[in-house]
Amino acid sequence: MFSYLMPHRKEFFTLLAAHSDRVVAGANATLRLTNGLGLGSEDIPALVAEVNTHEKSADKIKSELIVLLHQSFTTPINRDQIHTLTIELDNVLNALQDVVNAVGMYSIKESTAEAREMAALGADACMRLNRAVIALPQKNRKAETINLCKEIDAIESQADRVQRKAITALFEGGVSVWWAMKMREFYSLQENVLDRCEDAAKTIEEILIENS
Amino acid sequence: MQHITISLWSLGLLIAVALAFDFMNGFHDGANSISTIVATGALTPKQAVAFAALFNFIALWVFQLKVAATIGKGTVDPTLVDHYVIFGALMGALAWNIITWYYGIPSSSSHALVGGLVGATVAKAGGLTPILWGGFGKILIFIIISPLVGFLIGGMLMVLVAWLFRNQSPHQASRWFNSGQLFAAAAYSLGHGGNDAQKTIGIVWLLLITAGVSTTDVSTLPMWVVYACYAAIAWGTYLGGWRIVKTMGTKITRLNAVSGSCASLGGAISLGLATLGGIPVSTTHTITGAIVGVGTAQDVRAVRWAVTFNLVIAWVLTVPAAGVIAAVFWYLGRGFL
Repeated sequence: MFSYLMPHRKEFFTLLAAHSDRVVAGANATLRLTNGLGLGSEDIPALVAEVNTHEKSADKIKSELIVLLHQSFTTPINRDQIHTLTIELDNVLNALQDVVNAVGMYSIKESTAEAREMAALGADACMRLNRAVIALPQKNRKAETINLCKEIDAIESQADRVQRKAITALFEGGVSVWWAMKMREFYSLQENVLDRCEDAAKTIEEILIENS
Repeated sequence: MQHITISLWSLGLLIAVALAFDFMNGFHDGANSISTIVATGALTPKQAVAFAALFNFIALWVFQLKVAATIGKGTVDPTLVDHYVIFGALMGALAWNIITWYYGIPSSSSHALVGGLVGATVAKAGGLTPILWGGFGKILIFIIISPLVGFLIGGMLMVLVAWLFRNQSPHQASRWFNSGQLFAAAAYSLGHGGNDAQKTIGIVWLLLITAGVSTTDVSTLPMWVVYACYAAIAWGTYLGGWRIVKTMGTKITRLNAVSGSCASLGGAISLGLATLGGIPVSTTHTITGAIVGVGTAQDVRAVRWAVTFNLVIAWVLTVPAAGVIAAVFWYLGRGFL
């Protein structure tokens, strides 16, 4: 009964939602970049710059959240879990940034069907992560949120399969060694995005279980 | 009023048992007030027990003997009480305390004492007529009310602190509570001493009334009784207070400087109000209520409800169980006292 009278500090959820919005924006830009590679339809440097901008903006939100943690007597959920979740959302954006920066670094001029599929899976996972973070404060949406986390887990497993298939295709086709090296690294960076989404989804699940 | 003849050794023995009961009360419960100040390092264990014992004793000058009066002349008809009844009451309460200690039930020694007194008197009278319902009824009602009042005040204090310090981290806020928790612990020790020592004063007073040494007028109560009872509880606290790990503060929910201060102060206010109103309440149950209130304000899941449930069992059982045991001891006591 007293918990209703305590200061509620909803700002934490607002900041986490804003943080996950940047993740979705970064994932969408990465998807457009991967799909547009070699087609000339997208301004690749502009998309790289866009992801970097989202990453910087997310960094600011993370700092603001950590400062707020130090200035709050009460937190709506466990203090450490808020900290962990914001760090994990940040890790997703850092992973997306690594993907887009690899395009310039390894001079990747065209995409593959598997790279496009991985990027689509990444965007899908980030979008579900965003929905899960937004639904986090609403206790009546717990089942739906846990479901979103399980879907992210399934998407990550699917991305694992796509990555294995992509690497097999690279070495079966007798392509150049340089191309195989570049794309192997690129796929692994793409897979890293999904892994980081899975980490964040697991934390959200833990929060929901602990607060049920 | 007709006085009974009590041999001096019987009188001395019963006063000694009563003081031993008082001492055990301090020994068991004294640590409740200091567990957090030791855990947070505000005082060393040695300083903390001396501190709590001192405030147990200072309560002597703070509260009037209203609780003692309720026990001594407001619970059962004093004219029906004799030294066998007092023996039965004290032994019933002691036996029940040992049983509950063995099974880990957080029983109240105060309720056991009242239950014992009523049980032995009823056994002697062979009926319920000697019970003064005005006083006994009040004690029964407050078995439920006192933890609830502790719960409400403890919880509200936590809410108040959370709003006052809402823009500081708990770590930053705890700096304000280094001296705050000393104040809260002092207040709690005052409340503990005031309410609990007076229960023994009430029993000894009753004994002196039956022996014709004193009357129901408070001015006839020898001051050495008051000093001895306050000294016994303070001494008990001093010797038993180091058993900090065994206190309610860690069993029910984890307390820090801030929540510990709120719980102690919540308990202290509740005890102080009861003592001013002359109502004997359980100090353990009151502080437990305050701890649960503070725990609920922070997080309902932080409260170990199983421990709290044991407390409810103790609420229901203590008075009748101690009463039945006291009746048996009243019967046995007639054989050798």
